[in-house]
Amino acid sequence: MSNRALKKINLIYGIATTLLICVVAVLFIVMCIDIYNSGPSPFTRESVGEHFSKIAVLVYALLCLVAFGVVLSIITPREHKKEKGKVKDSLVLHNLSLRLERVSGQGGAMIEKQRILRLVMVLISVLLIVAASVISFVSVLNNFDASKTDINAEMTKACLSVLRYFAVPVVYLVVTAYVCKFSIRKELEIVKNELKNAKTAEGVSENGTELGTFTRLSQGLTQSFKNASAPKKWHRILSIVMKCVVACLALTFIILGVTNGGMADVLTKAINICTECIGMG
Amino acid sequence: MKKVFSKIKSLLPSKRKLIQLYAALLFNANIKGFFNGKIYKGPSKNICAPGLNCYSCPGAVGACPLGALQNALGASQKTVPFYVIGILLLYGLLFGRFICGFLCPFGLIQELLYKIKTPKLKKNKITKILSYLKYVILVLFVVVVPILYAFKDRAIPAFCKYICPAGTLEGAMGLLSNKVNESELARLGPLFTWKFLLLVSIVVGSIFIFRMFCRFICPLGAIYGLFNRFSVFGIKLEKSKCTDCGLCVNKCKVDIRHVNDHECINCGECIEVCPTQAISWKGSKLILPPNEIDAPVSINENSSEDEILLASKQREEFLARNEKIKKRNKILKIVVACLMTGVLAFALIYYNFIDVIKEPQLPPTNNQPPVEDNAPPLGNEVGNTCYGYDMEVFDENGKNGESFNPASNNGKITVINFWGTWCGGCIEELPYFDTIATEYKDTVTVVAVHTHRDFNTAADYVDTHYKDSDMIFVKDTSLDESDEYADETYFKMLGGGDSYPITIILDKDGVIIASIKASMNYNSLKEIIDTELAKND
Repeated sequence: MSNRALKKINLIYGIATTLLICVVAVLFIVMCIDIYNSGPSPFTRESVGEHFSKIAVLVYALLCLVAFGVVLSIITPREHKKEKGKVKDSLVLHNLSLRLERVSGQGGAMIEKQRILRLVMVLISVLLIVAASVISFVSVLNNFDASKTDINAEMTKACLSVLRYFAVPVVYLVVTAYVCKFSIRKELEIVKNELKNAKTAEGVSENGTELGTFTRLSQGLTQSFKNASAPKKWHRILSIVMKCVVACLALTFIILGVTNGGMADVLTKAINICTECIGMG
Repeated sequence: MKKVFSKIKSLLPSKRKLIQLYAALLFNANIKGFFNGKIYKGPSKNICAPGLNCYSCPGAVGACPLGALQNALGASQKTVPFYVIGILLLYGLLFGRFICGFLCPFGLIQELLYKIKTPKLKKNKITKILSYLKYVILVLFVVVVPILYAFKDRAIPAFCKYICPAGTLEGAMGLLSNKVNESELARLGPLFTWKFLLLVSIVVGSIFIFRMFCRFICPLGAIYGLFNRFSVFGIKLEKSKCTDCGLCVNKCKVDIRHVNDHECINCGECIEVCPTQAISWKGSKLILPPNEIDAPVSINENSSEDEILLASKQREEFLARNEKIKKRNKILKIVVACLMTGVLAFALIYYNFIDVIKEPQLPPTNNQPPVEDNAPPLGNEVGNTCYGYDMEVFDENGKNGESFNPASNNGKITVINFWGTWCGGCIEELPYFDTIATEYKDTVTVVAVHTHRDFNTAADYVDTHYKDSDMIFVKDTSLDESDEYADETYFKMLGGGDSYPITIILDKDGVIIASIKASMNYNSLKEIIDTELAKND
């Protein structure tokens, strides 16, 4: 079979499987709701069997389709796609900025403006989130009555009140993300222009020939990035110290937990089925 | 022939898949549980498994760290949850999200679902934003709600109760699929309907979106993600070698910003695509040294004879060393594979054939009230005369030293409720029983039988919340300490399995009129009692 024909079969198979999966999922949900609505104690082996036997054919068909998919993936030759990388604008900007020691004049002012804009936007969103967290925490503490027996209603009420307070910060956060993205793009353009303008004395290489902008840029990029990211000794020491501290803390906690009965609590919970925890009600 | 072999080789599961399968089997080594419909109750459940693996799954041989954490936080009023936090710190420090990539059974299920050939939804800006949802779920459902309720003496594992699909799939479905647990179907109600719908959505979502649950919902992944940078095992990025080409981020199916950040599940797929070999396994040089080492400097046309001789000698040494390393790696791999197989085989034999808890024989009835000739036979089914058993009343309830036998309460309707302080559903329904005990004081006796474990906690709880209650709180244990059936006997005698709560209602003659294996509410309880009282009138 030709590759083109296999591709076509794969496409048709993908669409058919997707459709069947969606249909079976919807039917599962409908059946479950139907069983739930059928009476005061609706889930019996008979009612479950009766309902799900109606969609059994479709489920078997789906399983057959999945099995066919396995066969299809065996006979279809694997395509080796060439991976393409995409470097984020913020990273390029960071690396280019390392090259530019100082930008004066109009360019410098514009860069500064963009940076301040981003800083202000981020600060406001942080403030909004902190404020929303504090307000929702206070509100939940005031209104949440854990002694009430209808936990589901209390939980729903608490969730809704928290969502209400977080609506504005979340919207603002999305706006901030977009503003920052465009600001970075703009700053990147300015920095690139500044780098182009700075093609004077340093545009000549060691052997006397003039370097192209791209060559200079890439050389500078690699060099500056290597300088910036070279592993520092104190960083490694800090990492080892941190690991040791966490390991000691973990072992101490485990020993304390064994002695204060925490381990026995885990066993009690694990060997008794709490039907509520697994959704059986 | 070579082509066929290479085709077969390409079809074999990757090393990561094999390790995932291995871990799933090891953490669910109690295979017999799937056949007899019962969960494992041995000592290894003291220890948490590293991945998300419900402890109510019939096969599970360890505890779920997330369930244990919620339970511990729910009990934080009486004990500080040192043990579970310590375990999570240890796992985080050792593995980080390497656990997600290699050791989590629910992650494996999602990856297998993703293998179904359908159009896939790749990562994008929305999935990146959604990846932070798990932190919100961690804070709200795993930490805040259990702690809030802990101060009201109620254990509410909010994540397990409302969200966890692993609990529904492995626990609920695992148990309900066995005919032995048919009676448990009566428990199912709105909560199960909600969780089943959520499970279906996550299963379907996982077919189209890579590890949908792990990326957007899993709080355990969120916890381990915090340790990713400094975990002992996992992948690492050598920044000095990195050229920022972005191939690794592009290849990755999850929402990482850079290799080994909090989203990275350490699957190691990026290692192959890195053009400068900047990504590698942490400690890989120690455990498995590279197969190739740097070749000696080559010679050229102008080299002298001595130099050529030296170079050829160096070359020989280089080849010999390489051969030695290759051989060592091969032996090391075989040893590790043998060791792993041995551990798995031992676990399977131990959990399925050696550590088999024999089903206790029902004890002889203790102080059984006399049964009249025309009375129904003794038993635990509806219509049987209820078994009798003497149990000790909680001291703190002001009835020091007394015993109580639920079957001897003739002349009154008796409501027997089996509960445990660790069971959220039991705690939730207790106030209804308390109200019934007060309202029907003259006609109904309500007995709350506490599971044989952790009587001290129960005593404190009863003392705090039901000191002046009309309910009678008893301990589910024999009065005779030498009794070989001393523990949890009455629960088993009345048909209890592994799950709580259970309510049995007896008429005034001690005959069982209702056996409810589900949480009750005030109205359903009142309805049964009113119907029975109306019959008597």
